[in-house]
Amino acid sequence: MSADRVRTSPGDVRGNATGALELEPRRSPFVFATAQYESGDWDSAPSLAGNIIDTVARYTSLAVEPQGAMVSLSSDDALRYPLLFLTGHLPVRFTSQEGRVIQRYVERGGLLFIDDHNHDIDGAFHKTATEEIARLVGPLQPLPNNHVLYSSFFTFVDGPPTTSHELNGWGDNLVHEQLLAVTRNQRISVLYSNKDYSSEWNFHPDNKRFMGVDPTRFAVNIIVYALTH
Amino acid sequence: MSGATAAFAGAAEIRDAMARVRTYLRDTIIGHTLLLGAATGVVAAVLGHAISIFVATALAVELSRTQLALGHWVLPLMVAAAVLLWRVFNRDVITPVRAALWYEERVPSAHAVVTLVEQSVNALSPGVASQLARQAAIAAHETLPARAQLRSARWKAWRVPAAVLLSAGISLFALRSWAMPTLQDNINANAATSTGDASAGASSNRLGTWRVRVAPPSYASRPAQSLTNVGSVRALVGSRVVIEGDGDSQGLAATMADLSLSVSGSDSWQVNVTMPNTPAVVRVSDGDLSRVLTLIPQPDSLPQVQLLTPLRDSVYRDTAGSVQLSASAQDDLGLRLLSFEVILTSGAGEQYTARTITLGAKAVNGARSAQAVHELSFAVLKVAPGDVMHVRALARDLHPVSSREAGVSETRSLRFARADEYDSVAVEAAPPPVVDSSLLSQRMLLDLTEKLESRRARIAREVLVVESRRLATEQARIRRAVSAMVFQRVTGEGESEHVHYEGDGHDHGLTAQAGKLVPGFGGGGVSVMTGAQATGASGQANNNATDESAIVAINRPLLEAYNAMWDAGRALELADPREAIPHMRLALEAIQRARAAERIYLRGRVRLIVVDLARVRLAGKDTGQDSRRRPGERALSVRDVYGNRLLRAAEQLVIDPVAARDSLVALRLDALTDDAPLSAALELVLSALQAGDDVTSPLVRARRALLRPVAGQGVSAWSVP
Repeated sequence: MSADRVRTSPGDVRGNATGALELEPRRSPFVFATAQYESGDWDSAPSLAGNIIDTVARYTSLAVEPQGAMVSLSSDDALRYPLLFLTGHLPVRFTSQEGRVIQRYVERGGLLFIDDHNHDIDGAFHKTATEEIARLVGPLQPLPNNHVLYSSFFTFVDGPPTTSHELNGWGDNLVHEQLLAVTRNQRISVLYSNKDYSSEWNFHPDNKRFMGVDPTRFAVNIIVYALTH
Repeated sequence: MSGATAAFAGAAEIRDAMARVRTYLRDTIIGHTLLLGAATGVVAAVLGHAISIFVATALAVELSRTQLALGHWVLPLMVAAAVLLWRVFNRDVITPVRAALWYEERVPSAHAVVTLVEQSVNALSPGVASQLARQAAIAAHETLPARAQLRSARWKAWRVPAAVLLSAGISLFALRSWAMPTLQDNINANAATSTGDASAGASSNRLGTWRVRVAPPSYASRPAQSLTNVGSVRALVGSRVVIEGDGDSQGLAATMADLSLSVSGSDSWQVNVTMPNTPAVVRVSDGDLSRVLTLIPQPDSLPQVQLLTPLRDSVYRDTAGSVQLSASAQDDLGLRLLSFEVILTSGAGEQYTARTITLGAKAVNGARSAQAVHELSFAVLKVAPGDVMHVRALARDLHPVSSREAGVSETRSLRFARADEYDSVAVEAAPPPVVDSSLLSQRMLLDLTEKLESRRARIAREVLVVESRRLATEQARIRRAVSAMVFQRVTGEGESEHVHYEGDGHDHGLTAQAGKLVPGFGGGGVSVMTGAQATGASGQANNNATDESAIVAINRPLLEAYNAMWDAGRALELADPREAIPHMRLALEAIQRARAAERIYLRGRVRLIVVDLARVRLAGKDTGQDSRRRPGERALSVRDVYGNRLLRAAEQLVIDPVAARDSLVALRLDALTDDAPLSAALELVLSALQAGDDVTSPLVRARRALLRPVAGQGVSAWSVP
């Protein structure tokens, strides 16, 4: 995929050396941003950001920052990132300021990707996070497994790829068939996963060489979707 | 009496009579003007009413109350005022001469009157005056006072406007009595729409007049309403709305958002609907006629809840004790329950368990505001070190549906530190110990120093030195207390004011420089972030956590206080309180800053991975020869080898049957260990060879045995092709 087809950040108008205004949009590299929030352990997957950046660099020609960012949901700086990743084990209760920023974020076209690090059905994170999203953005609905998200870069015929925490043998055989999402104007605003990608993707990228299939490929789909829709 | 005198007396009488005529005429004109204005105004009002009725009924245009008031009252008043003003500015001024002329016109024999009124008697010659007086006397005798003419003139002047006023008033009364209610009904009903008959409001129309009864849900405790001919209803969601009208329900149909509604009743028809969550329109149709009622829902707002205490997130060093929970709530209709919800999460790593506990539930019997207080004991919940407690308040209103969402407050996170976290993170200090009243605080010490400085000019040098050194002693004591706090909180070492030097093997990031403690060579502790750093006060990703050690990061304000106390103490030892005061103020300010320090996160610095993009994209720095690799040949599997051997043996059967048989025997032996079906098939081939039979069929079976599907060793975890 060509990088210039991808919206990585809003363009701006800058002055050049001669003082003339440049109307060409500025193409900033994609920055993988992890959302900080007050109530839980937002930093429970510290290796994930580097791993996903490695994946983006490995499979795409997207301009990408080599280092991820952590951005507070209490800050308007969150609005600078087209994709925000949020994870944790503990109950999620957003503060009023965090709620306002989230609402503005999705209204302005951001994609908030939430992953339940617990991998359970009705755990504390799941209950509270879905409650909070329903309160702030809208109710989460199952995302069809033929959604364009699953073919935005790699093709996942059966919907979201399973994780080792789900598969019988390693995992608990608790397979979540679908992701959940809040859509606005036929675009995903909030993507919610119970599949524990936070654990699945939380390893050093050098360890990919031991794997037959890179489990982080689905992250490319999410990023490309966020940048192109 | 002489003739002239008699003439003068007659002239005066004539003039008095003319003055009365003039007054009469003036009053007549004023009355005419008023009548004309009133009549014009009423006529304008009649026209306004007629036009509005025509527009609202025939043209089915919805008129607002403002438009109606404008057409019915404002414009008529303006017309009347305009007429009055026009008449005032163009009024006939009735002078005595004009009154006399008017009189003379109607009584020709009184022609001398004008002359008498116009001319001064003194200006006339006596003969003329006498003759005029005689004529005037005759005229006066004959005609004065000419009341008949005056009344006739007034009647002629007033009758037309009076008649117009009367008839217009009657018309206006009739319009307002009979036509206006219909108009008002139509206006309230937002103009009945008619596709066939424009007279939607006619009495024969079953939709012409309807009544709407609104019964709010019982839990709202609001009175029911009865409305007549309204076009819209605003009511609480869930209210029962009944639309009623006169006439049989036969032939009537009602819909709401493509949903057909039942219309019932014989003497009067009735439609029942429930106020939906979103605005909707109920359309009642009677043949070609239809009429709509707009339903405007009023949502029942969720309770507004505020958690008053704990005021902010906290970290507890100990799992003993309790915390007071208090909350307040308000609701638009009434509250039913106010309680606290606690989610207690235990565990670490990938193993977490969570319990949800509801505490301090307080029943509120419909009050619109309420408060609740609950003492939360940690022991009751069996809180363990490392647990995290999320507390919020919930309030439920009177809405009876069980799935009704509750109003919630902000959530506070209470963390309970583990013992192994004490050396790497700051936890909220334990409650201060009982203060020894004999000790001086830094603030009090500063006060004493300032007093000593103010007395400095009045006391002897010896006294100054003694008192200053006494203060220096107190300052040193406080400094040591601060030092003890710094070291004990972080390292657990009770001894204060000990520092270490590079290479002594005991480093917690401080070095001694001229008695002060400064961040030094170490940085051996775990770096931490304060709340402001972690949450990014400026919103920046905090990739810039400092490299200073935990002891420095956590206790920086106290270290500043310590160093300022050191300077202050040295100045006091030198009996220079003036020099000591600024340092003491700095120390006090730093202590206060330490007291107000933000909470510290119970976690270390997040590990950041910087990806070498060039390496990942194989676009590294090597610029040598092309080192592309060619894919090697796929290694043959055992079955491939067996297949090749079987093929060669089959080919050899034609050339050298014995050699072929040996090859087949060897192949069978090899297959015995790892391919039993192939071995069995080869046995059949060898039997056929032995018997001299055709081996084609056994060879085909052996070939099929090689090509049979074989179960693998299991599906890979990453089995996506």
